[in-house]
Amino acid sequence: MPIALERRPLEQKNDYAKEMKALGDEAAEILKLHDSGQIDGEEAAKRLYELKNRHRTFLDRLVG
Amino acid sequence: MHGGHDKFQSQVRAWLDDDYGRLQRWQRAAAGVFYNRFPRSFRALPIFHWFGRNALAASAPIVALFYGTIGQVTAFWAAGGLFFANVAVWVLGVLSEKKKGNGEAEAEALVRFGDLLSAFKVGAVAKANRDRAIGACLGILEIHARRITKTKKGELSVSLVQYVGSSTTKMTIKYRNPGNLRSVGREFDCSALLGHHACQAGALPRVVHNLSQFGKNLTSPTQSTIDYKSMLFIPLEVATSGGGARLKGFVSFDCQRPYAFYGNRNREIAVTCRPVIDHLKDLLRENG
Repeated sequence: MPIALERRPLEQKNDYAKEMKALGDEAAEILKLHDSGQIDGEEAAKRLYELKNRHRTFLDRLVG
Repeated sequence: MHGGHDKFQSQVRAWLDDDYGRLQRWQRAAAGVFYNRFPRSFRALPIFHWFGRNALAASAPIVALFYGTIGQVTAFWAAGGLFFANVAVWVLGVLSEKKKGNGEAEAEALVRFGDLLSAFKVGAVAKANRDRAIGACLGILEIHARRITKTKKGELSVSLVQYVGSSTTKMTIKYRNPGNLRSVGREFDCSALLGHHACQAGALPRVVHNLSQFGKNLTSPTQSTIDYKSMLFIPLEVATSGGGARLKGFVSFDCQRPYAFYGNRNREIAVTCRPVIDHLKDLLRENG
């Protein structure tokens, strides 16, 4: 049997980890909206594209 | 012995807290650009071609000097000016190139892929085929991650690391991406495993930009030589029938290049790989 999830309090500094989790969850929400027929595929693609570049900085562009 | 263990614990704590000063962040940014933008191998021919093309465009004053039409100083300044003007025009040409605009097409492919996965619900996959389905999911994750990190085949691998039964100290790797020849099936103690610490500290996705920050305190779970330098962990929380969530383990991406997941890349993986991760969770839930 897998272990029961035990959550520890998060430090405020873990912004990137929380950001990644939030982006993944939002992507799942968009796909769910599309799955239920509330938005079409084109709109979902547009939102996902915007989502993955939401926090992109100049340095990120430099890294490629 | 205790000193080494304590040092490792404090390094893990600092990594989980992302507790680095401004100077270290700048160093990290510089390293991110260095490892991802600077060529890993040197090829003389493209440099010779670039220099030759610009020199040819600036050669007219040198020809004029040869026939005695102009003086040396004039020829030198005119040739130098033409060379740099030609380089400037080349830079403008590069900057004015239209972007290929593949981003939205990739996002649409992702949506269609999600459609396909939801059309084939996990319950429809025969139990005997679930191992193959999990392997295929890891293979798809590897392809996405290779594209995003601009990595060659074989330089990046994806593994599914799971807790053994109800244990919080033992883990096992049952599945790896297809073509990955690293060992599977062995159970090991996970106290020195970074992914385990990531799971226990809130089950958030985590990135290790360069494993060398942990010095020699790290060991491979499968007792093999560690040939990877950067890692990304995505913990897998699986919904239970009671409405809660259980932590089954994590998906580990590891790459032979340091800083492969730096910048927007880890965010892009979080978004792009989400449908596959969700499908993987469904498969694990069905497997019990």
